Amino acid sequence: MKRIFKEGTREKGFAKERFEFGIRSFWFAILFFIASFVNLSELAAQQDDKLLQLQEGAIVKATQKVSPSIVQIQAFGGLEAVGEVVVGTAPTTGIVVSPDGYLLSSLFSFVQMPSSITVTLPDGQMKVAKIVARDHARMLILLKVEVEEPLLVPEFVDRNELQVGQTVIALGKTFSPKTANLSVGILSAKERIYGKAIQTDAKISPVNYGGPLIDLYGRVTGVLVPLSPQPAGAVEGVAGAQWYDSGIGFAVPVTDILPHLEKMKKGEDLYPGKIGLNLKGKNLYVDTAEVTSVIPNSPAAKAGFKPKDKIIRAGGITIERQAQFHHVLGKLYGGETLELTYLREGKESQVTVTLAEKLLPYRFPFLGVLAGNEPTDQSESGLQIRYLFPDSPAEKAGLAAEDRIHTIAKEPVNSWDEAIAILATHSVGEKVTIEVATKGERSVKEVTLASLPTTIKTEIPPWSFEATDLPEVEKEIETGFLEAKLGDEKNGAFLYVPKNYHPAVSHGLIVHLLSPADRHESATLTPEKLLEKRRALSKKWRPYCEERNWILLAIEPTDHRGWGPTEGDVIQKIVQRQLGRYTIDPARTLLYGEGASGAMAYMTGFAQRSWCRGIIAIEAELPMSRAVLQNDPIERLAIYYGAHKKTEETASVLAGLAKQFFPITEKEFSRQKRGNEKVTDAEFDEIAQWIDALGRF
Amino acid sequence: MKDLMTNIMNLTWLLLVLLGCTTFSNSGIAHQRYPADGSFTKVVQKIQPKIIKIYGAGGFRGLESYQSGFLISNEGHILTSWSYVLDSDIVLAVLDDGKKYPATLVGMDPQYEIAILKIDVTELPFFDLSQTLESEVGMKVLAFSNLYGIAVGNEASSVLHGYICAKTKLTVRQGSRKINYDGEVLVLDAMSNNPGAAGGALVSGSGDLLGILGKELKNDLTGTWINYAIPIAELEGVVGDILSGNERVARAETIKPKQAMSTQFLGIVTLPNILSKTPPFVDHVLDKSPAKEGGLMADDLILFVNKRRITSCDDLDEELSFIDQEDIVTLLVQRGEKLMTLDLEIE
Repeated sequence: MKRIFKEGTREKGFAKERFEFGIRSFWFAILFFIASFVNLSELAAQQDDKLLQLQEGAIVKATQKVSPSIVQIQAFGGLEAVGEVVVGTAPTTGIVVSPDGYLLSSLFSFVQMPSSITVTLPDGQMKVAKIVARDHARMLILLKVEVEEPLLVPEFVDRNELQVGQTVIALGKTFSPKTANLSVGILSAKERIYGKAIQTDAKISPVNYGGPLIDLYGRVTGVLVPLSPQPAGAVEGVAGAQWYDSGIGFAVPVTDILPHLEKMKKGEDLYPGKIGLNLKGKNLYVDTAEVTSVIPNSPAAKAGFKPKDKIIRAGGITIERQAQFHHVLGKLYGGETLELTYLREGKESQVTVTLAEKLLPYRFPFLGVLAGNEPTDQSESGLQIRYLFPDSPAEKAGLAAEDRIHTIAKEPVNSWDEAIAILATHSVGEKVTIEVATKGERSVKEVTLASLPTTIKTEIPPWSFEATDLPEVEKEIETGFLEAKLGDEKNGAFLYVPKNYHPAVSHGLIVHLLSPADRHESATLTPEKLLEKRRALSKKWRPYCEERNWILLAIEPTDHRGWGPTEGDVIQKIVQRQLGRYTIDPARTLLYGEGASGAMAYMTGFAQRSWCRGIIAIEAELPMSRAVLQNDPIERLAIYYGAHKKTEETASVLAGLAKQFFPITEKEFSRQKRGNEKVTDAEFDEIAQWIDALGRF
Repeated sequence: MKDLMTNIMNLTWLLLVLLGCTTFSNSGIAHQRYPADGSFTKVVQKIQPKIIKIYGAGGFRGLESYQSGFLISNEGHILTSWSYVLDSDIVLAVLDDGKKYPATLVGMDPQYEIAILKIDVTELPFFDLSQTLESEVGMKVLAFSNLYGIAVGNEASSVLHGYICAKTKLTVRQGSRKINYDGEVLVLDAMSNNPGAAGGALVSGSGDLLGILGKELKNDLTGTWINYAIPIAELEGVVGDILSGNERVARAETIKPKQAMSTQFLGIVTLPNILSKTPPFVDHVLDKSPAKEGGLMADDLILFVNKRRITSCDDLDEELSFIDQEDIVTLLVQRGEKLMTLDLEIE
């Protein structure tokens, strides 16, 4: 109609146009009228129905094609709780990767060492399965079952043959070993989690972890896994599970694993490739890949890297930002090689590095200094010494409390962060110079770095400052009990800010994970009762908060049975909010928990190393994991473990950490306790000392 | 003359177009202009008048005061979910055109957690429960409900699309059990089971009724929220019973028999149960006991008792306590790398 009208106006006279228009419209209208009886809409609806049938048919057909290559897996024993943190116990899924009985699945279902694993084949036969090897980079596990009949290996397809937007189906066998459960979506992205995964909006959750992501032709493109760009933490395989059914799901491309399958079949685990470099700056998308420190004996050290070298190419890809470097590195396993081009004093050099599976454990050097609680953005230059440890290198060199450190190894020091970054490039036994000012008078001392002590033998006095020295606060700051619950989260939380809080004083942040039994946020409580409960819960902490400049943040689990694996994320959110609100000492941010909450503190601390510097676990069973937990020169993490007895498993977890030179302080608690308290006053006082000494270097 | 003809033709044209439009007004003009695109506009239009928004008790402390239902008879019967929302003197049923009716409770069934309400209307479109479709995994579905109470007044209910993810039972004996219904459910690949959705209708892509949306439910096994519907075929009998006035009472939870099995009775001695989750390894079996006769041996790991999965000594005790001493106990055990099925029985 539009076309006719246009022609008319442009080429014909007015009357003729009207006539033409009329005739044509007449016929058009007649057709229109007749068509309405034939009912075009009915025709369209029929076509819609047909389209629907075709769609459904394609999905069902693709699923049926792959279903005989998917198995149901059940793990027995040890799975219900990971260090008393509740995880699912439902059957999970695996994919056949070779006819002789090798299966790939997600590590998620094997976070604990199960006492038995059974696999139900699509024909209903149940078999005992053995764990052959793990992939610690892509969070997969290889299992083996003995089979009489060869298993059906599905057709695999490389991610490069797929296109973003294409229909994909996520399959699992949680509900039945015979019929696969499915979720339909599209391929959302092909390069995620530093190149390790593809992404889909199909609903990915424990009901299909370990199962395949397939295309409409029934070809398997990846193994469904929970993944997170954050480090794995103490228990690998669960990070990212909090995003279940969120529209963000990940699958590890099978074609990335197949070249490494022979190695895994030999029982060798795969590890992410480690290089041993620390890069300058924390913003991956802004900062260049400039080296700040090289970990001794690491592949980077062997390749001759030095601080200030700038990586400009890696694996044939130009590196302008750190993120690009992580993308190249993220895909590689330990043992694989990487070609690097770097700039040193304007000159380009090329080197081939063989990545390591593990780095030699890093040992923290020790000067013997505890810095004062000045805020990091203080105006006075240098770093004030709050306390000097007796018999430490710094004390022997003649430093004294209240001196100010201005340089370490000739690098300027104005904050704790800077001091730690400088020490990261020096090792125990090395000699470094320190420039200090005693009452304004500068002098240079030489010290030999010792190793960081794990026990605090002395009494550290609270940091004293004259209230009159502090600048005036412009606006009133709320102190005492404050609400810290996030509006959209179910976890109750409160804050205790000491009455003497001052923004010019840097405060420790104690994140107390309350025991499930101490959940206090009942909807039926009056405000008075709630405050009373909070008073009781924070009774032990409050005097220390005033005396030693700590802020207490108490967070409760949502379930009376314990913490869920997804609650770590909520803890992170609540903590981040408080970090931005108060003046927090970056050296004294820690997690505290008793029993099940102690295990949660342990797992959360390792998963959130960007802010957490200490973990205090009391009477807790620590979860065993095959994850390689490594010391980090910058993201330090110390552990305090107190219990009247510990399980063998916990003892071996602690021993494993000690081998990696994590600063671990163990304390055997007394059995004599009043009521249901887990820590006596004397024991608590020791913990307080440990907290205040967290920032020692 | 020409002018007259033009005028007549134009008039006829106008008339015909108008006529054509009225014929189309019910189906929506969009369909005649464009070819089929696999969309559900017709189905949605057909279903919406059958969906009811239900308002009742609640509205405090995180309890929503609304849910969903749908018409199942020409006399204004509404099938909905049995919940606290109906626990009110006044329950309001709101149609898709915004008409409000007070609803009376005809009856309910605690086992299936459904209720039937009645409003005083006739001649409205309804779902014929005898005309339901057998559902299949992979089938495209539409879920109609009063999700989050978003639709108000004359706004039609919210429609979600997705697929049938699985057909399975959700029974969990261990741990807390949140639904009474223990038959097969349709697990959905859609975020259908949020507040207010309970009682909503699940239909196929071609508009056939498949199920009634369940309440919000966390799957104890996976620890994740699940989206599900109870198949309408499972409800036919009970709906008939309610409509015919046959009172139904809650079927009792699984009852433990008076003379229950125990490890002692069977002659099984497991590892000392020190840890909270000691795996049920057999330490030894007593002589001349049912366990010995049945072929159970030291170091066997018990995985299943009568097809129920167990993972600890505590589970084993719990599971046995549901079995009568007179009955046969079937164990699936792992011996080394082999799985064996053993029948234990008192002679």
